[in-house]
Amino acid sequence: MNPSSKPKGSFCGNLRRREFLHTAGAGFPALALAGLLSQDGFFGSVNAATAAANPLAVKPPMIPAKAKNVIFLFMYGGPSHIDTFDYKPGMYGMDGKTIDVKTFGRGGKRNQGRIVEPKWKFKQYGQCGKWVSDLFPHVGQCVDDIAFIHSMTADSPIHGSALLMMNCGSVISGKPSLGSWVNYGLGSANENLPGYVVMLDQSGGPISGAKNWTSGFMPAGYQGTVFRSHGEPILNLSNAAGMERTGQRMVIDSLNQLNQSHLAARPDNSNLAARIASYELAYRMQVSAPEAIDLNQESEETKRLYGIDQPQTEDFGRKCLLARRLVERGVRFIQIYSGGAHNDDNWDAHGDLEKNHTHHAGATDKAIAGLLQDLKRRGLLEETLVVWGGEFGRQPTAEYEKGTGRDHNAYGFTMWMAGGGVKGGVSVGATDELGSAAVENRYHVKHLHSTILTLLGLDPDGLSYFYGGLDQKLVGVEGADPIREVIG
Amino acid sequence: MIRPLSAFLFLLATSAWSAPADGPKFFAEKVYPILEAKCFECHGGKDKLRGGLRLTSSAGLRKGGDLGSAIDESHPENSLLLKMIAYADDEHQMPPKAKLPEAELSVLREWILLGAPYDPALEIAGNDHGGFAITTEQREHWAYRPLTSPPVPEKAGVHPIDAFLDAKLAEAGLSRNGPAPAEQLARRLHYNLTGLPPTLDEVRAFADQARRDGLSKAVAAKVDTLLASPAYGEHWARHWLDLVRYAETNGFERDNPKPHIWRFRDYVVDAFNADLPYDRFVIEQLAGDEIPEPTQTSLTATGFHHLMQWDDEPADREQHRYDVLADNVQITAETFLATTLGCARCHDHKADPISQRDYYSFMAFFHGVTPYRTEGSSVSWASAAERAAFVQAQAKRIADAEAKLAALDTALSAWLKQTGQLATNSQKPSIWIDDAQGAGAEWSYTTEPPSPDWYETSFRPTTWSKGRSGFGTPGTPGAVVHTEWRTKDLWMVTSFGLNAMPEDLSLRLHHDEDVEVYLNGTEIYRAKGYLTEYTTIVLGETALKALQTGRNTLAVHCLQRGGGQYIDVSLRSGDGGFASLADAMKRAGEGLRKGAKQRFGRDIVKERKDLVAAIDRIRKEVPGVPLNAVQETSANPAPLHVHLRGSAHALGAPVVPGFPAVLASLDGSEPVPVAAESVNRKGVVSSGRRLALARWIANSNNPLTARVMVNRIWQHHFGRGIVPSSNDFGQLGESPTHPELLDYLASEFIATGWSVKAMHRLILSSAAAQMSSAGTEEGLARDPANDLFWRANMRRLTAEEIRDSILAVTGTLNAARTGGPWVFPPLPAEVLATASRPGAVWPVSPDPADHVRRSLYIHVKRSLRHPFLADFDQADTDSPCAVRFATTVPTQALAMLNSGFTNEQAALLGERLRKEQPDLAHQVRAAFYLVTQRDPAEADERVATALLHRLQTEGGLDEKQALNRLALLALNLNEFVYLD
Repeated sequence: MNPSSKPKGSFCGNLRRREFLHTAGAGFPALALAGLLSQDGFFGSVNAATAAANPLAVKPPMIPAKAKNVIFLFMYGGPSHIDTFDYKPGMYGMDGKTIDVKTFGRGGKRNQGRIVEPKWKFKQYGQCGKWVSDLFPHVGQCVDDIAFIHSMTADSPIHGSALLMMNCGSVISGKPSLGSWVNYGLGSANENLPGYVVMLDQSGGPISGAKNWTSGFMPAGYQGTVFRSHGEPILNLSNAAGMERTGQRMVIDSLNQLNQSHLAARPDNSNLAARIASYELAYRMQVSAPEAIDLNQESEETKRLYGIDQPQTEDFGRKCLLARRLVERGVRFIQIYSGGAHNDDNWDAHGDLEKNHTHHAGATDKAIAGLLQDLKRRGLLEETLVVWGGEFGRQPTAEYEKGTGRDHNAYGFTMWMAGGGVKGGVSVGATDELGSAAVENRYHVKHLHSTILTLLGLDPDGLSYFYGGLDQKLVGVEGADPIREVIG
Repeated sequence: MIRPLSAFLFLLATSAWSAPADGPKFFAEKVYPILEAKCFECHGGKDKLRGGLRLTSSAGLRKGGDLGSAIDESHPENSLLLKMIAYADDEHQMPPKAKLPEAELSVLREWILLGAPYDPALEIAGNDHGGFAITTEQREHWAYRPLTSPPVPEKAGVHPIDAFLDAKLAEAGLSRNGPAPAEQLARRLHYNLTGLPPTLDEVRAFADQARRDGLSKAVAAKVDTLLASPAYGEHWARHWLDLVRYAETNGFERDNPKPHIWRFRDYVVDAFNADLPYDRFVIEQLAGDEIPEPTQTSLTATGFHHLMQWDDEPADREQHRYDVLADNVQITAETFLATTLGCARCHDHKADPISQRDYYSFMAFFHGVTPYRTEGSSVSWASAAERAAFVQAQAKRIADAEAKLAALDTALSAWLKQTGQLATNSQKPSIWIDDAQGAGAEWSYTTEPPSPDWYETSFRPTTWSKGRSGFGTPGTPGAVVHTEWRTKDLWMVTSFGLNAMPEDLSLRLHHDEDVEVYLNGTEIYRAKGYLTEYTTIVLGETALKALQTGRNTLAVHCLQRGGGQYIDVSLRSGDGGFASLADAMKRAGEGLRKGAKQRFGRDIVKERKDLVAAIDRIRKEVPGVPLNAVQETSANPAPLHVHLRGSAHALGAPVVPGFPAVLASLDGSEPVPVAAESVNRKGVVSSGRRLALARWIANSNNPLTARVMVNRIWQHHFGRGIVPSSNDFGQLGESPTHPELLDYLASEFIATGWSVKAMHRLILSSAAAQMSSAGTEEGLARDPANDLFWRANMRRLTAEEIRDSILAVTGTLNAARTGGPWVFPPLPAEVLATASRPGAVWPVSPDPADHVRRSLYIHVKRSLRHPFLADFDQADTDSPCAVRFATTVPTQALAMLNSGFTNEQAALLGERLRKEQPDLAHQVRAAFYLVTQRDPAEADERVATALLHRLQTEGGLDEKQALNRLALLALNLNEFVYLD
């Protein structure tokens, strides 16, 4: 084989690609086992003969990094940009007017529609004077830390494929999700907690469920772990009924003894050692994960900041506060869903826009602002990138003959980012005067992904994983540039 | 026609800058600044060149990018560049960030019409790659060379496989390990052939025979026994299902099941068990419908083409159709040929000698396949005689049931009338689509034959007419005509939103004549003949299942042969009070039911409901076995073009079916075209293209097919293939560590008639397959990765093996029940909560005996994976998996220690120990040997006994609880989940 034909992305000039090592059955011990596993390369020592180096070990960034962690606030269902952050003053007074406008949603492509004017008033906030609707009075207070991208576009206006696009970069499933790429590129800073955490809405998961946090063709160690904000945070974390922690320790101690004598006859097999160690890690995770979600350690003032004292904001506020605590503990990528299941259980306002958005914004506004403020005062915002948005936006026109419901819109919508090296008080790109399509500085989901990776110190065109004869990338083979206007 | 206009435009344009000499100046002053500011970032080629287009030089512009030349020299006004900057349509929009301002547009327009002159002083040339050509080096890549029959290194009395391996080991100064202890070998053989553990008795018997008759004889006998066991096919089918990314749902929003696709799984199991020759196995999956005498089995095999993800509501239907085809092309090429074609979909393959034309010529073999549908393009298999007999019997069964129904109705009607229950009208019905007797509804309709997927949710009737119901000819009995329809056929589609699921669903309709009704792509009603008045039809469970919150589509086709047309359909629930018997029955509450029960002495309402459902079911029955199989409908599929950049909307040159040049041509770089013989049998018309492809693949002259399969068989015995990248034999894959051995095995494979079982016997009779896994100082020093196979590779059990083994050792595995529809064992609520329909997504199988079947039979749902199997690296459902990962992560330890599943199983194991063993000492011993199939060492027993003691004295457990803990510990042993 001609080594020069190897595309970039192969690691350390080794004979075998890292990817092939995993697929050759050599294991994926996602553990840092100092003293047990050799760290000095794949073939460097007898003991490490069959073991890859810990794939989740912290790796240095590929390019200078501004952010260390990401909190992705996923507004599932598609929030209406013109009712939240994309101010369209010209639309007031046009309610009910039928106009020519190209739209594409679940109802198909249309060339005409009845305008539903923005249902909330907008006010200016902050030094930058950003116009924000009355749905987000608390987030409004934070606009000087936020960069808005008003010219987002996506490939699909249908939930299933659009969610996959936003999470995994393709309308076809099977590709690893953004959080998997980040953990693959940077590793996990806390081995007692998962490096990639997903918190779902109480009403259920998003369409396609686990496909949204899958590691696709990468090993399962990179996939998102569903984390619950109440009770047992991770599946199987608690001991089975009747098992005391001391009793469990006895079982593990005896298990270790027996496994050690099994290992003694096979000292060169580091996978066996890794499995022994994984029981210790699991045992520690049983302490560290509940500790991470224990909000009793937080002051009342902090809880109020996130709206945890109010029934309306309690749930999302708790998840946002948890996200901060997880960031403090080194969790690399956290995604929180606002909305789950179908229809009005999420931002998918096809029927009554006012009722739907009042509900979902009301449940999240205070919590999101609290998160930004709390991160900032603790000095964490600088290294924590907060991303807000859904899989698409909504149309300026009504979906049905009657009512205020809007259909999906992937031609133009708004996402915003804060912290993690993002410029504050900035707005990039624009939709037309109705918000029906992005017309100025248009950006695709790929550019958003490219920006997130760049801020984390990962080269979007260089971060690749060899699979199916191709160096696969989150942003596709063609690559995509980051949105430079928002990078500070 | 265009010429005069273009000449006119050209004149207009050149009027300002008439002299060609002004061109460079115009470029430098007006054009260059625009290009530099708006285009060069991506098309300047400093760091990257998007779309292959370079605009910094005249040559680059003229050569163009992936979409072809940016300029049309003879008709400049038609230039691609103009179309792009004018934002002509979704596919043509440059620069992507925003349309250029009008002033800049007109400058570029003028420049193009001038013939796009450059100022040579400002040109920057690039060194872009030229056309596609296969190099000699690529052509001579080991995998593309013809199969050889290498001489076996001569060594008397040595198995050929050992001779090949020993030759290389000797070069490295190494020697092969001796045989593994019989106990280890028995476990290895059982797991590698059946995926299940042996019993202690089986291990002992094997060891005894090895001592008595010698190891070779014992192994040969064991292999024969295991190959004859049904569990062999179940285990090896799983390897195959990984390759073809087998799943039983479509994915995306609804993630609907693929009806009957489990028959494909059973086909694969049966094929391995029956030792179906591999060449036949290939042909049946690719073209089981096109072979001379298709059978139910061969049709079932074509389910191969239906395993992929499929979006019933894609944003871009055309593109999605080809995404699906591309998925199948990838699977075909990787599974049978270990060739990764995927990258050539958008561009010529950068490293492998596969051109984009090769790719689309390959795709053309599949182009005639009918696109997938919600119902899975079900084909039903029956002979003509069976068919006729069935139709007759069906008619009789329906008539019988209807007669019974009529009798019930008479009785019930009389009673309802008598008791005055028909009078009130207390409840408002929910009407989603009203009929013309009410408000009517707006429908899209057409009288021209629509596209075949007209009733699917994804279909948008944008070009159809709109009209209010009912449709027909005035004067038809009982008709209320709002829109006239006088032709033979009428297709109509409408949609409605739904916020909450109703409890019942009914159609009110009037039709003249035959009608078929689809709800969200599912057929919910079909009737022949005509009615003379509106009738309410209570819909069964099929219709309720098809209904969804959010957007729903109702599609109707009505056929009238002789005039007097009429069709009107209303969809509703809780229909308007007890206006009729049907309404009363549909909404029969507890009161009505009790009353009827009292009056008739039996639950007549339920009887009636069951009868209606039964009639519904009988009507839907089709003769024969329903299959999720592939079909074509034409001898000549529509032409296929190269898709530039992989976009179905950017068509390049047309292609015909052809084999990749590097595999099929000795010297050319063009794909080798194939004239497929079309199939035209009674009721079956097909292009024959897939059969042509299948025969080329399943051919002893194909350099890849046999090598690829023997490598896979080797891999599952030795832990890695002779070619470690077993799905990629291309230049980016890995080279064989033992090329002569690979060719020897491939030749033997063909020589034995492509018998997979014969290959197992050949491999397993070698001393290499029986080696110990122990490390030696020499071996670990010189070949730590075991590239030379000096010892056996230890391996962790797969996800399915771990779950099945737990069930097996606790004595609960239901191994006797094989095949049939998928099963749903219970899942933790936390896992169900991750689904968008937590309550509806996983209907637990009613029979507990199904919960403990082999993992192979658990429903494979794309959006919801079985958590235990997923934890242990079960293959992904969307991508081919040639080699499973074997990760070690703490969540696995949590699942093994804490999950409900392992704790229930541990308790069952404890129960088994108490029941079968007389005392604690025996129970401890059995806990070990049931799980590891060996008698424990004294030290092991001491650890176990000490644990039992501590759990009781310090842990406060009773004896029973403590033993259950020991059982749990046993299931967690490394020795249990690792094979030597």
